[in-house]
Formats: sequence, structure tokens, C-alpha cells
Amino acid sequence: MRYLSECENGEEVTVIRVNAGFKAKQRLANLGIVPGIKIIKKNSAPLRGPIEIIVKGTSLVIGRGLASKILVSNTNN
Amino acid sequence: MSSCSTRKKIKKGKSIKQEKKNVINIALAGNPNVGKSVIFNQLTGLSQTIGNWPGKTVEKMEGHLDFLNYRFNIVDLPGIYSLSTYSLEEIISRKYIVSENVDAIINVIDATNLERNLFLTYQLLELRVPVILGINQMDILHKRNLDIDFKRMEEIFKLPVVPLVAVHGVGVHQLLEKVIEIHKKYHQDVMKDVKLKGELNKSELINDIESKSEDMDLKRISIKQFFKFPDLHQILSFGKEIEEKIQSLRELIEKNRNIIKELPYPSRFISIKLLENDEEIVDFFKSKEGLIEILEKVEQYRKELEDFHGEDINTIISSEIYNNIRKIVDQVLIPKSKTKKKRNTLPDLIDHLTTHSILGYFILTLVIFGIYTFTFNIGDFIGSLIDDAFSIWTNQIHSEFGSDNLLIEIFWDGAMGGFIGAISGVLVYVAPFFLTIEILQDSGYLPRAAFLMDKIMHVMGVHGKTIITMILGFGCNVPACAGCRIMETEREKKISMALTSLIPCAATMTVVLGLVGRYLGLYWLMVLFVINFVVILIVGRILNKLLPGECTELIMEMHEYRKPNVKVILKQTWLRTKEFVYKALPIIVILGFFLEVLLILNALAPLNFVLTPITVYWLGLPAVTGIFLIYGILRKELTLVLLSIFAQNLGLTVAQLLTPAQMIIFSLVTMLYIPCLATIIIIAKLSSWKYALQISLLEISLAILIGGFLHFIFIIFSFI
Repeated sequence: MRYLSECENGEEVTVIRVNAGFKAKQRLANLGIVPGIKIIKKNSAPLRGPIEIIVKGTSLVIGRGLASKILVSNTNN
Repeated sequence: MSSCSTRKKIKKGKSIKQEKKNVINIALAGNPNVGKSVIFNQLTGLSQTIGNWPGKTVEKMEGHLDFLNYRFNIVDLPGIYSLSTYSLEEIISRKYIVSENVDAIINVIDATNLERNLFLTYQLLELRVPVILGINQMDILHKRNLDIDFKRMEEIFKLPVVPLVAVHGVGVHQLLEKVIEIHKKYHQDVMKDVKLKGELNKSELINDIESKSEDMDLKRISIKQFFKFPDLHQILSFGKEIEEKIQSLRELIEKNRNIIKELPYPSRFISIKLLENDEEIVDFFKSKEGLIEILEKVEQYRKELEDFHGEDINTIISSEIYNNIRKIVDQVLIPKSKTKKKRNTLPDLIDHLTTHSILGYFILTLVIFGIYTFTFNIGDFIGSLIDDAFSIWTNQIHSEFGSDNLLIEIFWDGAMGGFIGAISGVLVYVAPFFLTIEILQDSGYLPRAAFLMDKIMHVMGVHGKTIITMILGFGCNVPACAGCRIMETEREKKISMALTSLIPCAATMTVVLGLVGRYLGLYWLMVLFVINFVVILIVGRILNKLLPGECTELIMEMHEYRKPNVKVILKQTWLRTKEFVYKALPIIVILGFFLEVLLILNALAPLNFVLTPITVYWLGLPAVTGIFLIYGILRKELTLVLLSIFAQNLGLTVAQLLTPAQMIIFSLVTMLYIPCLATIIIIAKLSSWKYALQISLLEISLAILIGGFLHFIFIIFSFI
């Protein structure tokens, strides 16, 4: 297990837990980022910037701070 | 006398009723970037107006359309993902949807992203209002070899579902036909009601309802009052343990309905939101006496659920909704054919380049440069044509009536001059600028810039989205500051406006390029820009410290690049320009007029004297520049224009009038010292006059401080 911010580009992972605050967590849940969901880390901005992921077929950008609060594990194929 | 007035009343009542008869109010709801505004454009054409939701900084788009004997009033709600209290947009939307002003909702859904879009649909369904589902971008879905089983979808939702290709206008009017069907059905229901009651005829019943509505201070009868919402418990139900708790809460709410009647949501919606710890609804319950019991129950239930699932309540409920949606999507989304078509790779390539860790920044620089050159060249060209024409008229009028006629000075030079100035100095830059924003927005570039710059923006207490308004600021600060309404919180709106107002706009650039660029070259130009950006950084740091709250993290959808739709872009540009002309221009003209009159009456001449300690001793500038800087508040480029005229009158060039050091300081002060009048007005409108003045004062102090600092450095170096 590790945090989303530590994943390599192109990796597919499963969300285990979101450790963010109430509002951010609610927002992420509303956008479909809940435990058990598979996401792909697509890209990350330079200078330790935000992270682009693919959830349910669409791109979502989330700040690095938030990405380092999302616990993920390798997806078993 | 009295009978006469009664008759009048009846007549009036009738005519109002006839007008009312066929009016249907609809609201468009949907996620951002689903083509909602395209549909809104198709439906309303040029009848649109942009306003604000009462007391809020969120834009309200309204328009109307006459179709098949009905007048449709259409409101385009802001793009949202949910009906929680995450952003102001969500709260405004849900309040509006349940208000008496809405008859039906058109929920626009992106066919290529059904799952996430249906999440909002689920929330809308819980509000039990008439909903028509419009599934947009069917053409793109077909290109991906997928299709939607619409018949199945209508069976599941028991509501009308309409396929759309909004950019080509396909299905758009069908949406309205479905609304009319619901409306007709409602009339039939009224008639049925009449037959059942027997003692009333239809018009009397309507009168009856209307008088009741008037009693309740409602202006019209909403279809909603008669709309029988379909039984959707099969698709809306949560797991058993959640449902039991919702049921128990509903019973408690129904018992206390008289206390809760100000909360216009259905009891099931309230129950779910209570469990979710929804700010608005929990606060309402806290504010009323006798509801503590329910809140205690809610706390207990929430804890039980969280213990049971080992997750927090929002995650539990969102997961359950997504599970339900998944089941529906599996049934309605069907593969079209087995042959795989080639995916268009151009958008992917552009995406790759514009988010590249090196090329991305290079492209960003090019885009900023592009906005600036486009806005400036067009604005400057048209503006100078207008100014030339005006000066010809002015000469004619002066030769006819004499140039020292006070009335002429006030009304022609002052009022007319101010009006023409607002057009040639502001409007001509604003209009082409809107065009560039719309193109950038419609194509999907701006989120990429936010992605690249997020990290840097965090230093200033805001997230990446602020770079969007800052980029726009290079064209013109006025609409760019207005664009700060895209920020999620008040705090971020405020910081973003301050930062954006410090970006050198096209007009400021004319001064800097015309002085430093022309006479001193690129090296000093770069120095000025570096200083400008350091100041932006400092202001960001200061505000980040001063304003309460924390910087929110970026959560933003980055949709695929698409070909901009020319029609939509032109319409939006026209609409924005129109809004600017109606709302901002009059204030600029009026305040400009007053300033102009003061200058004509020479009332500001003592100001040069008053400002001498700052301009002459501290900044080392000629005394006369004081008044130029005052003029510059109106239009930044005036500082240089007036300086040139002044030099000409003395038979000198600007280079002979100012030393290089003075040029640098004068340009720097012009860059920083205050947002222009129109920008200040916009900031005041989006926050408050107090904040607008605070920002102006902060910028004035920084400009004086840094200008003086430079002056003394130059003095020291001249001695060496």
C-alpha cells in the first residue's frame, strides 16, 4: 500500500482509503473516488505539482496534497 | 366607484391569467462541460441575459423562447457534480430547483460519461421534481462504438429520456416537447380533479388555486404541485440498514413538518442529507427549537452506519449510489458493433504537448503572448480610429463655439469625451479579449494551464485555477477579475482578484513598452517584469496570511480537447460584451465624467503640489506626473499619452523630459500603483467596496515603496 502521489505514471491502482478532510472527502466521493474503485494515474505536473488520474473514463486533476492522502494498492488483474 | 374598481380587478386578473396560461419555467442542470450552455444557446438565442443570483457572486444565465404556443423561461444553472454544500453553485442550484419558480428540470447528461453524470441525476430525482433526461454527445458515443438503449432507460427512470447532439441541434426541441407533454398532463389532472369534485368548473378551480397561491405569496401555479413523481424506489433505494434509518428519520420529520416547513425539500432528501451531515440542513435543524431530538437520532444513526461499514457516511452513501448507477449503466450502455474504429489521436497529442513538463510551459508563454498581441492590436487599431474621429469632431466644435467655453468643456470634452474614452480605451480591448477567452475556454486549454501552475499558485494561497484568471489579465484586468467567480471559496475569490489586478494588462503594456521598451531596451523591460511578478508573489503571501481560512486543494475535471464551436463562441462573446456595456460601462463613464470635470476646472492642480513629496522627493519624478498618474486610474495608458502631449507642448521628446531612471520608475509605478477604475468597480461588485479600496491602498503603498527604493538605488549608483 502507498499513496496515490507515489504512483508511477500509467499505473492502475485500487483506492483503499481517503484520509482527507470532510469537504474534500465528500467531493472526491461524489466524483466516484471511493474505496474499491480502480483509477489510473495518468500524469503528474512538474515541480511536484498536481496529479492527473482517470476515474470512470474521465480525467480528473487533484492537488498533490490531496493525492498524498489517498491510500491505494496494486490492482490484482 | 367600488364596482368599477372591482371590474378592473377582474379584467386585470383575466389578462394575467391568459398570460400565465402557457408560461413554463425550466432550469437546465448538469455537470460542467456536458454541452449545457450549447443547449441553452440553441434554445434561447440572443434573448439571454447574464445576471447574478441574489446577493451571490455566482452567475445566473437566463433566456426565453416561444415554442408551440408556450413561453419557456429558461435558466441555465451552474455546472455541478452533486447537490451537496461543497460550493455555492450547488447550494444555489438545489434551492432554486425546489423553488416555486421552476416547473421542470432538464438534466443534461454526457453520454460518454454516464456514470458520473447520473450521480447528479440521482440527487435531482431525490428532489422529486419533474425531470427530463437529455443524453448529449451521442455522436461521440457512437464513434466509440457504443450506444444507449433509450427504451430501457425510460423504463428504468419512468421519465422522458431524449438523445441529443446539441452542437448540431439534434433533439434540443424534443426536450421542450417532453416538457409540454408533462404540462398537458398536469392540465388533464386538474380537469380530473374538477370532475371528481363536481361542484366547481375548471376556471373556478384555477382561480381558486391562484388565489391560494397569491395568499402564499406565490405568483403562479407550478406544474410541480400536480406532478405525480414516479415510484423510483427500486433504483433509488440504498442498502437495508441505511433505508431503515432513512425511514425512521422521515417519520420524525413528517411529525415535525410544521417546524420544518421552511425547508422546501422532500423528507427523504432531508433525511439523507442529515445523515450526510449537510451544512445547510443541519444548521437549519440547530436553529429551530424542538428538533434537537432528531439531530441526536441522526448522530446515533450515523455512528451506527459508520461503525457497521468501517467508512465515513459520505463514502458509504456515495458508494451505494454509484453501485446503483453501475447496475443501470450495465443495462443501458450497449456495444454497437464489433469492429473497432480508430480513435482520433489529435486531441491526445495536443493534451500531451500542453501538459508536457517543458513544452507545456513554453506553450503557456505563447498563449499569454498571443492573448496580449491579439487584444492589443485589435483594440489599439479600432481605439485609435475612434479617438481620431473624436478629435476631428472636437476641433470642429471648438472652432465653432470657441475652445474656452466652459459648457462645451464640461459637456463635450467631459461627458462626451468620457463616453468616447470608455469605448476607445476600454470596450475595444474588452470585446476582442472576450473572444480569446471563449476560444480558450471552449477548446479546453485553460484547465491544462491550471494543472501546470497549481504548485506555484499554492505559494500565494490559491490553487491552480487562479492562473486562468491571471492569464486572462494579460488581455484586460476588468473581465479577468470578473472571471474570479470561478473560484470555490470567498477567500480564493478575494486573493485571485488581487493577484489578477496586478497583472500588466494590454493598456499597461503600452506604457511600459512605449517608455522603457522603446528607450531603454529589453534588459530593463525584463527587470520591470521580474519586479512585477515578485510583487504579485508578495501580495499573494500577504493575503494568504491575512485572510482567514486555508488554501483548498485543486479538484478539477480535465475534459478532452474539442474543436471550438464558432456559433457558441460568437454568441458568448456578444453576450459578455453586452453585459459589460450595460453594467460596467455606465459607471466608468459617470465616474470618468466627474474626474474629467475636476481636471477641466483645474481643481486637481493643487494635487500636483500635494503629491510633490511623493512624486518629486520620494520617487524623483517631475511634479507634473502627479496629475498624469491620477488620470491613469481612469485608463492606464493615459499616463504615457498625457506625458507625451506635455513633452510635445514644451517642444521636447519624452526622452528629453525624463531621465532613464525616471522612465523606469514612472513605468513601474504605472504597472503597480492601482487597478484601473473599471477593475476596482468589478472587484467591489464581486466582494465589497471595502475590499476593493483595501486592495487599491495595498497596491498604492507597494508601488510607492518599491518606486522609492529604486530611486534611492539609482542615486547611490550614480555616485559610484
